[in-house]
Amino acid sequence: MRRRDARRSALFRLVLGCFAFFIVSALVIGVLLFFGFQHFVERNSRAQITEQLIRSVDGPADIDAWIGEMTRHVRRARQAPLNEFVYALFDAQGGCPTVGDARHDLTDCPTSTIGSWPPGVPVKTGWVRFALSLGTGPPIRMFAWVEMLPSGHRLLVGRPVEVEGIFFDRLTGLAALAIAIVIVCGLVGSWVVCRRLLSRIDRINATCREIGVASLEQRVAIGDQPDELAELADNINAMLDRISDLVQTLSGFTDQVAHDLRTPLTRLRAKLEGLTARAGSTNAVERGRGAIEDVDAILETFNALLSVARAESNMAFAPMSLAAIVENVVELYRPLAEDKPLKLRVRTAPAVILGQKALLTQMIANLLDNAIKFTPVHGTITVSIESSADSIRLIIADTGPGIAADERSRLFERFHRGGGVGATAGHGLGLHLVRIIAKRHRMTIAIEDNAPGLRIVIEGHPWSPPVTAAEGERRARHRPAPGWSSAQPASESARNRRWWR
Amino acid sequence: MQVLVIEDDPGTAAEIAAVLREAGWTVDVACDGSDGLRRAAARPYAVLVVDRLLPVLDGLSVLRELRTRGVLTPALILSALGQPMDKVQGLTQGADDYMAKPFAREELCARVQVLSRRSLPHPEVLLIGDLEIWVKARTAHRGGRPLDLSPKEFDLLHYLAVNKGIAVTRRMILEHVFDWKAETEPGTNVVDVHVHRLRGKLDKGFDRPLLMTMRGSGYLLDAPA
Repeated sequence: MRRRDARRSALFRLVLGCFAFFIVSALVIGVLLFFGFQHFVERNSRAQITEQLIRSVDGPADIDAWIGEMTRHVRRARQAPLNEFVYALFDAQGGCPTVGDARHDLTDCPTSTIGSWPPGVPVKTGWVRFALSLGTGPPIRMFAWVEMLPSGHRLLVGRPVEVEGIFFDRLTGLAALAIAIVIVCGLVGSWVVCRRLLSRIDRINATCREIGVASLEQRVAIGDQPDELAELADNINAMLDRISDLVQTLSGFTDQVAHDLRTPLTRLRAKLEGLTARAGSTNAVERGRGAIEDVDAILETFNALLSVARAESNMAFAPMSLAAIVENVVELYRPLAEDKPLKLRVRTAPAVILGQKALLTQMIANLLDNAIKFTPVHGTITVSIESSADSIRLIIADTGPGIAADERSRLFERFHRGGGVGATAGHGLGLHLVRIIAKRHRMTIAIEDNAPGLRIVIEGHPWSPPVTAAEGERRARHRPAPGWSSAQPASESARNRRWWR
Repeated sequence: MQVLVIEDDPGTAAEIAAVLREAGWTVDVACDGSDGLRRAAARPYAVLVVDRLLPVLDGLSVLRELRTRGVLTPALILSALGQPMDKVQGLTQGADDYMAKPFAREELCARVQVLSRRSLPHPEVLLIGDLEIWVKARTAHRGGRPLDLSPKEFDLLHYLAVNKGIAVTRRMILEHVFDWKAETEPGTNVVDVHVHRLRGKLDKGFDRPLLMTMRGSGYLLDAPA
């Protein structure tokens, strides 16, 4: 199996695409959750901090009230060991504000739990985040509200957010790791999943390539799963059946043609040689006439060849009455049959098919001619048409010697007529033509035992005129529940038809 | 009676002309479509023999143009394109008969003769010797006695009688009496058997046979001189 370059596999790109889509969706959700959570946490912090300031008295203008408030907060904070809040109220210069008459310095300022205005914090009303060093130990992340009072004092209330910070850091780290793992697993998983499917497709491709090059006998393996790939393999096999059929028909055909052309050509040559050797002899006229007949024989074969070629390629079909064509041909051959003598019976039914008049006439004539030739005297030949809603059968039955069962399949391949002067050459092509014309009209040929004799059954589908829109609607309303669409007319080899038909 | 042959290959044209002259016709030859058109429109010919593949203007176009101008001279197309489709095309585009190449001399003569009679009136009764054919009633009498003919036998007799004196070929009988459109002829000589039967009913018991076989050419119905 050829190693497939991953970039050039449509399947892999598809799976990767699905996976990428999934990843992107997950990422979007993750990001939303992350920021949502972060926002929630921050709101919580703000709420806690804001709560501390609610108990201010008379609004921010009342500096004494603020000082009193803050003093109380600070005293309580110093007494509660688990307090985490930070309070600070400094004057405009950053020093401890005067409380009553007492002046304190920063080390034991009653309105502040911290020694000085934290460096890096702008003196401006608003929320801030900063890092605070509390003696020994690393700086702690803080979230605080800063307020500039009209008197110039600055207020700060905050709480540590180190835990949240660490939490979110860890979370971000883990998320990144998780995404990386998922991406790697996804890539590997996609490849593993694809490989199985790809190997099936690769097998089909490989078989087709071999078939194209080597023999037409091989068929594509269907596999054991009833999915689209199996159906594809089945269809390819059906196509190969048909091609193989055509090729076989053609090869037997060319043998016959070669024989039918070489024989009269050889005779013609001999006669002309005789003529040139003895010009002026009384035999000349006779030989000349004979030569003309040989040329006619060659022309007939040539015409038959053209008919065959045209039968394969001609596209101009029209609806026509098979019954009318049959009756015409039968009337043409009746005297010949009755002279032998043979009984010739006809039973037609109305039957319209899509076809070509000249080809159908030829086909029926060849079959009838054959039947007349091979049925011994006093026998009966019956030509009948059976017509039903979805099938038309044309049956030519005789009471002749018939054909042994194992010979029947070769009947159309190697019909060998003992050549004779005067009879139309190219007649051996007659049954080839019958087969090709039947195929061209999408009809099947079956050779059966007439007990006694031979029975040839040609079956096809009747032609129905295209429906008008109104009629189509009417039919649609009465249509039964939809199932699988109906299969094509059965080809002659029905190998490998499986579950979905 | 004059025939115009429109054929570009000089060898073929000479051959056709020779065959027709031998049969008693006067023959003019045109070498391309437009020359043929000009001549056919200028003088009243009895029959036109036209090839399809011509330089300047092809055979079918010449005929189409002639018909548009009201020139209804019967025309026989003689062409290498001999498939049923081609014939149908030719016959619907203004030709009256169609023959494939290569052609047999006798058949060419016969078909030209048949065409030359096309402009004659169609009588209700055909009289040949002591044979009487009533066309509409589809009955035939010889020497006063009615002939018991099947419908196809009557059609055959009628065709031979309309073309009295012309040796019609098997091919012509197949096409016109049996509506045989296929490229090849039936394997066995089915036409011969039909003619043989007709002869049995027509000529048996009479001194002078009316239905004659011309070896190599075909069949002919006529009262002997």
